[in-house]
Amino acid sequence: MKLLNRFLKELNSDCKPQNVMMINNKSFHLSIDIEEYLGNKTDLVYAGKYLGKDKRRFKPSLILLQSLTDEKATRKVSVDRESAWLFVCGNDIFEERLKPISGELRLGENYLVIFEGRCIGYGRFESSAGIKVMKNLFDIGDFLRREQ
Amino acid sequence: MTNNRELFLERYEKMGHKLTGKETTKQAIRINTLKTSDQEVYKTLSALGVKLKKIDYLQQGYVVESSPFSVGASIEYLLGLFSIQEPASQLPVQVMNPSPGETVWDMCAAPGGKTTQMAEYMNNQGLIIAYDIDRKRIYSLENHLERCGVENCLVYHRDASLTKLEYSFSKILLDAPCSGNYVTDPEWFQKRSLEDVIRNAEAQRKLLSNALNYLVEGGTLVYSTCSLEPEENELNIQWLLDNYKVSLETIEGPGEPGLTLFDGMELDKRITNCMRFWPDGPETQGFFIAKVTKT
Repeated sequence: MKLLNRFLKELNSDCKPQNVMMINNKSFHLSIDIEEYLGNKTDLVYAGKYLGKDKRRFKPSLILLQSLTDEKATRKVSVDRESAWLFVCGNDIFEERLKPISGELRLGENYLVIFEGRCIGYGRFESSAGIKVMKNLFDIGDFLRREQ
Repeated sequence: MTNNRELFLERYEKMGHKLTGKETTKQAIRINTLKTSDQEVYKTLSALGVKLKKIDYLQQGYVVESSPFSVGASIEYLLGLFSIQEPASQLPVQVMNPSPGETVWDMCAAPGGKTTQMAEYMNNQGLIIAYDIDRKRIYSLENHLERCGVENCLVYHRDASLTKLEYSFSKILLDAPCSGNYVTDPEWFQKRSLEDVIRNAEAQRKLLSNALNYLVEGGTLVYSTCSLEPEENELNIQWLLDNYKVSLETIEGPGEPGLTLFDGMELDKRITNCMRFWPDGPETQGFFIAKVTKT
């Protein structure tokens, strides 16, 4: 929960997760229906709405990223298809390819990266040797990488 | 040494299908209605040069006629707007037709194509209890659920043939582990023997038996395999008819009726209500579906 809350705070999210259950370092939000049904949890590996996994830092699920996209308060930038593809291949994105969805980009802050209204990952706006980029912290290309 | 290729092709010929053993199936996708619409995916992929053709007997199925890139490595796939799923294997959930609010049991769920399809039918409402015995394949199931945005599923690493439950279901899907078929596996003839088929058929009967234990009277069990072998299909259904109070519902689709004559054995005529897909039929892999009602 600590890593999840830190992740949400770093994106300026208002979300306060409740009814969260941990299974093997993974966080799940349980709806009332699912909570009522859950009896014996032996051998349970996945339950309800998957939020993400605790690693060195919190690794969000695509489900959580998409619900944060619909939140007004979260920081977001949009990108075109070409930049989106580079991002899902694990690359950072140069500043000139980023379109802030609200306000200006600020160094050191985390942003959801949005392509055509859908979240493809998140990153931190950083400067290195005078070049400003959205550093890739997580992207949905992870689905292909983890299957390998 | 027995030539399995000839052995199996001769079997199929005796069942009325002279196959080459080289038949293939086209890649197909299923649109994820939890996240998007047919129109949006069709429009987006078409703009990228992908040629899609609607599969007339499926609600959300399209054949990929051609594509300048691998559709499984596209942003739209990674976003979960569609899944890659062979046409015939999209039919069992359509036949089962789970509804929002229902509680259903997916007995052998991994890697999760049909589980995510059920969640789409249920609009993420109600509950899918998903079991699988293979932990490695469950990782794929978990990824699939996440990518497709499924929020109404409980996944257990359990053997559905042995498990004891405190509740019953009105709908159960048993997409049973099977011998597979050569259309989706070029090495199939080298890997498979009739002994495998018999062994799988025995395991399938244990699963069928436990499914019937937890199906309410009047409830529906959809049984499917991607095997062409009658032992795993019609003979298992005959065994169900002989040992349980069940009826077989007719299945709508382009396949052929289940066999009622095999290897000199005459089977129950009601088995024609089942559906069998042959690789020389409507551009699918080998497949079998039965819709069983507990009476």
